[in-house]
Amino acid sequence: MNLDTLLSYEWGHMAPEFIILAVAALLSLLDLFLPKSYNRRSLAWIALVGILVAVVSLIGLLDSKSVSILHDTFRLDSFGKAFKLILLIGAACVILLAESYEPKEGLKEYRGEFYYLFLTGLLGAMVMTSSGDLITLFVGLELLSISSYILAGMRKKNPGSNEAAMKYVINGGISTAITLFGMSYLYGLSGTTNLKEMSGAMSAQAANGQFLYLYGLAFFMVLIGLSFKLASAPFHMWAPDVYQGSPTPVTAFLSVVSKTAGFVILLRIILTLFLTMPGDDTQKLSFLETHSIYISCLAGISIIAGNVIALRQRNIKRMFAYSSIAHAGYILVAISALGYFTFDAVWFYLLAYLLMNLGAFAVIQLITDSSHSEDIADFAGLYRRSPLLAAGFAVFILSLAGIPGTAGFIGKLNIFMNALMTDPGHFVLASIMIAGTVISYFYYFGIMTQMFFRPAASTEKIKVPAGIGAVVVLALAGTILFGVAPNTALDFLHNNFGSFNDFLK
Amino acid sequence: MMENAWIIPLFPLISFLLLLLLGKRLKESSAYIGIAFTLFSLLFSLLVLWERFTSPTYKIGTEWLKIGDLSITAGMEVNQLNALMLVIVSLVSFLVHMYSKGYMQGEERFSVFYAYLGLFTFAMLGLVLSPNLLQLYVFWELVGLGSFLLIGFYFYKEEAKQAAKKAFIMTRIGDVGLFIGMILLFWETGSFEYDAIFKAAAEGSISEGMITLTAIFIFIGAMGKSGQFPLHTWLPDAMEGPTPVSALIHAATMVAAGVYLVAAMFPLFSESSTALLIVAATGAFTAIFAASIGLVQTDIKRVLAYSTVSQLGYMMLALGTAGYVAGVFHLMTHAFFKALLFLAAGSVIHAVHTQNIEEMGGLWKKLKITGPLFLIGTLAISGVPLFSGFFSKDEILVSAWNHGNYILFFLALIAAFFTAFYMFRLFFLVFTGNQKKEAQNVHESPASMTIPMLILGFLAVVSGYVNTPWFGTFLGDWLTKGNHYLEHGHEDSPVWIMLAATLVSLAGITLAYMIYSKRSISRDWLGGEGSMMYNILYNKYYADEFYNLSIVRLTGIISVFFSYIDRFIVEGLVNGVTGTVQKLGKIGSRMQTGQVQQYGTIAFFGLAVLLIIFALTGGIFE
Amino acid sequence: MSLSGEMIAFILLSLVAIIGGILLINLTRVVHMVIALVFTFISVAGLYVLLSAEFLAAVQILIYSGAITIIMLFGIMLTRHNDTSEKTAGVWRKLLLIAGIAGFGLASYAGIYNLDIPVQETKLHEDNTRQIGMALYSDHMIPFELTSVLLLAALIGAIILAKKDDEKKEGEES
Repeated sequence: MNLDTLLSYEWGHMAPEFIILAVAALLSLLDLFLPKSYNRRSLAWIALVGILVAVVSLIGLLDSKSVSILHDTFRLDSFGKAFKLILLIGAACVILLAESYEPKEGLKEYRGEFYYLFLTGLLGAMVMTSSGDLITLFVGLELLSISSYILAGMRKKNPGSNEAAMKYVINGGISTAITLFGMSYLYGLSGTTNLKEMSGAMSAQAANGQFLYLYGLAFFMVLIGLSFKLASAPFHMWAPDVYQGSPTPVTAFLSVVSKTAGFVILLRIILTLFLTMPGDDTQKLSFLETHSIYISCLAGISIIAGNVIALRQRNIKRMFAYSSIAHAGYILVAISALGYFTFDAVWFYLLAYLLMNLGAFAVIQLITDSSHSEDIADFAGLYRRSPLLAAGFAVFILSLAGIPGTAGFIGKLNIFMNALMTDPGHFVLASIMIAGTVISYFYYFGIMTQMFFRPAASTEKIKVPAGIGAVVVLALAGTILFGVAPNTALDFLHNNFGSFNDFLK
Repeated sequence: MMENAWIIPLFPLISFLLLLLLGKRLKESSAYIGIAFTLFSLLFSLLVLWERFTSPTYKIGTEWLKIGDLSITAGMEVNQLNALMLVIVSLVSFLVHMYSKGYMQGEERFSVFYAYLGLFTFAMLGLVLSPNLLQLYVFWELVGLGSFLLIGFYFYKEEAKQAAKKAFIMTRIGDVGLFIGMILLFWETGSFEYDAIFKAAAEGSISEGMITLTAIFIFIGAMGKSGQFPLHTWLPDAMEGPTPVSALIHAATMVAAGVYLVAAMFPLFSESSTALLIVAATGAFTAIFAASIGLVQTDIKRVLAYSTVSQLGYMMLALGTAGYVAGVFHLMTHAFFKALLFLAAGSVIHAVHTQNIEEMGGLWKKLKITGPLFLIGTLAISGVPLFSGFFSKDEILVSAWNHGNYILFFLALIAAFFTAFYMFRLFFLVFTGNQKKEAQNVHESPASMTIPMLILGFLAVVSGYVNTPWFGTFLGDWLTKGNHYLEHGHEDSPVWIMLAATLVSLAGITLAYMIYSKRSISRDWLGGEGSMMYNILYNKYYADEFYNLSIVRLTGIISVFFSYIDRFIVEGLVNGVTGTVQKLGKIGSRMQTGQVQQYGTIAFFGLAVLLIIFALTGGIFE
Repeated sequence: MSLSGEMIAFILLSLVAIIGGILLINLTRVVHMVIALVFTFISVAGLYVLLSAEFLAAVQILIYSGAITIIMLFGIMLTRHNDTSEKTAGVWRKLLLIAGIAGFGLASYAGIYNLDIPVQETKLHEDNTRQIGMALYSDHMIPFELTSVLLLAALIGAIILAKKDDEKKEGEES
């Protein structure tokens, strides 16, 4: 390969990634050379501008056809674009939260790192959306993970934060080992890391039962390994401890960006590889269709465990950790009931989840920071202290609970319809989903009761910083808009990405 | 006007948003915003109703959500049923807004109350206008939310908080049923639209069993909202909310939403006799069950709450026995007289500051307006001839009889007796007899409270005349006109049913009179003119004893029995389920030890289990 | 399966690697642990040699021997030497783990036992250093460059987390 071939690739399609990389590099240099006394809070705005420019450049790329660079180690197809958009929006909100973040003991000189580690994590996540090569996907995954490990431990003086980072690293290590072991099977059997070639090899080899079995093992290892990123059963138990201990913007990052990235890589790998491979000797159904029951079980367990244990939590971040486990379960329902509009359902749900969860975390950050405690009781009487904030938080909670009129309802409805429309319908899973939703009302409405029906502990007015205010307003607008007029989002999806038919090409 | 009907729900929404933003500044003048906007709604609703008399059904819709190839529309529909409902809802809402100005005076969160009222009214009107199930479901949930906020309005009372939570969660259980039914229907017909569903049901493209199943699921939704046994327990507790709220939500509108739903889905129900039977049986049982509990309650609002449950049971019975017109008719008259009763009860509570009827008495003289109005309401609900409740209840009884289900008919008749009895018990205890010492400085409520009551009192009397066997069945003809799914035969209504109903209610009244009022007959207000009555009653003393021994004892036993069912079985079941969930949560959180090794172990073990299952089922060993 | 010399070497090396790993977890003295780790790494390097990946083997030894020295230093300097380890796991967890490992092992073994992968002609033996270089700088350039970002993030992270916060005097900046 010479320089000409290298230059002949359409590198312009990596513009969003390049921008994020450049901004991260710029921030690290600025952080290095700026005087010590300089308040590094303003670096957040540079990061934000960088992300927004990346969004703009991505929107500029929406019309272009699917592009592959260097044997699919980078590929920009509609799937990548659609999910990259979610990641970028999520990261922009997280940066806004991080800008306003002020822990009790302060972030001191680590504020700069705080911001650009978000960007490197984002970069990893973005790479995960648009690659058709196992190595690149794995490097992206690790980049995201390592950035997250450090971010979780950013509050060095806080034992909870240290504990979170420690647990996150160890569990992350286990999950990486499992994922990598599964990937090594895939590579070893097919002889390539390129997903498309691998898929071809797998279909050819599947006639041999032993190969089929080994690919099955690889499937489960990849699935379980990645369930760490999703925080779904059985790899969900780290989530409560880590969510609770991490700085709040990091918790938001983990629950939104990192989870989205997890779903993206999961979809990319298992759909490309296992949707084309026959599931048994008869070759009628694909591997994924024959074995969707396993994903269903994991989804069901996640939903039940997440919702039921959340009932007993008094710490708001911990409760949201369990709720995020349950939400991962809901999305897995859509993947398990693989149908014509699985992509739409997952994409919409992730978008809705991003909006409502980030909005909720914005409020949580504000309240927990001002009261220096994370007990649910701190939300008592929020309505009297700040009616608008309470109303906003109520909308996010209603959306998380799936009450009509909010984006969360439409998301759940999509998944639900998806589960029932497939043949055969996933009735049991749909019922578990409903039961889980009903259970979730108890704890979601517990918070509501606190906010509206309890006298406030302090009557002190709450000052809303600009960053948090912006996130709340944006999330609120989105949650209601997509709840009332969901077609705005779905039309956007269809007009720009069609039905993702370039996914496998 | 009909094409602009969508504007009706928007008025209360605007009111809600305005009050949310400006409430703190407006303080008590918030009331005027709320009243003005609901007045607009009312006027528009009346216009729509008026136009609907002459024009055909109007329907409009646009695509709202597209999932794959499926397109779900949103829009609105103005047919007879919802034109009527629009008027009922906006009228009662308007009156309650007005009434609350006096009742809630001095309340710190006055504007919040009006904001919530606006939200609720918006949701309820939206629900009524919905042309398809999904949209209905959206508003259905919003209505529940509004109710949740309003019941818990006195949040400093622990009971209110609990009641709000209970109401929300209990009705949610019903909502899940509705949701499942809705999704099943969608699955079968590919549409949420009423028309498409009815068409499919009528054409027989849905199997008989499926129709029954979906109808039952939808009915579960209706049971939750309309407080039908066994999902009724939240309704009496919901009385912890402010009284105007009870009048609006838990008497006239939200609880009627379940009945409305069954009425709106009536063409589906009518395709399945099993579903109809279940509706009718549940309704009849609820009617008698709640009425008998009402006999022993001592809280004025709880008596009314149980009576609401019982009357809703009546409506369900009517619908279940194919008495579409009877059900809707009773829905309308009940909205008026029950709202009146609640508002009057509120006026009483406002005056004496207690809800315990044992502590009241002799208020007739003090409350010159409330008293007679309460009496009108009581007469109407008891089914005394010439009052509205008489005609609608008669229609229901006729419907039950003509349907040939005589057990249900007699249950309904007994329930009518109970109703008359406990309502007059309430009336006599509150308004006659001695004044208790708590009720010294009693004075009549302000005009903002009495005027709405007067209007409702007027309606409680005359609203029955729109559909009578004597002057013609205008309502019935109009409701069923052009709707080929419903037939409103002019069935012959045996005269004896009317007589029986009258007799039964008079018997109930007499019994109540003898038990609760006779004791004070020689004193106070009946003293002078009542001597003749006194003698008559005195001579009937043995009859009284007889009643006392047999019927009263018997009803007492039934009542206690049902109270037990209510308390131990229904509540116990609910607690059992929640207890199990809680226990599961406990186990789950105990597994969360915080030891990172354990998390890894569990993840790895999970993987191993999956692999082993895979190896044994789909793997190598075949 | 014939018992060739390659097979024997493979079995020995993998046994040493696994035993090293197990000892690493179970030993209590830091120095012992590090030495167990050395065994594992060297055997892995040996496995690379068996697979004709001489370059990787060399790199493995180079890098890890360097890392090992550092770890040894840190291990000696930073840990308490007479640290009594707390009682670790409950019985049921151990059982669960053993069952898990056994199940995993069985399931995997069932798959690879008697597995017959058709032999492909490869040119791995020739110039494998050059081949790795070619692959890294052409086809796999994107992940390679991304790895540099990853290492940078890890480096910065390590500094942040390990740096001693001193309130009074300024630290040496990263």
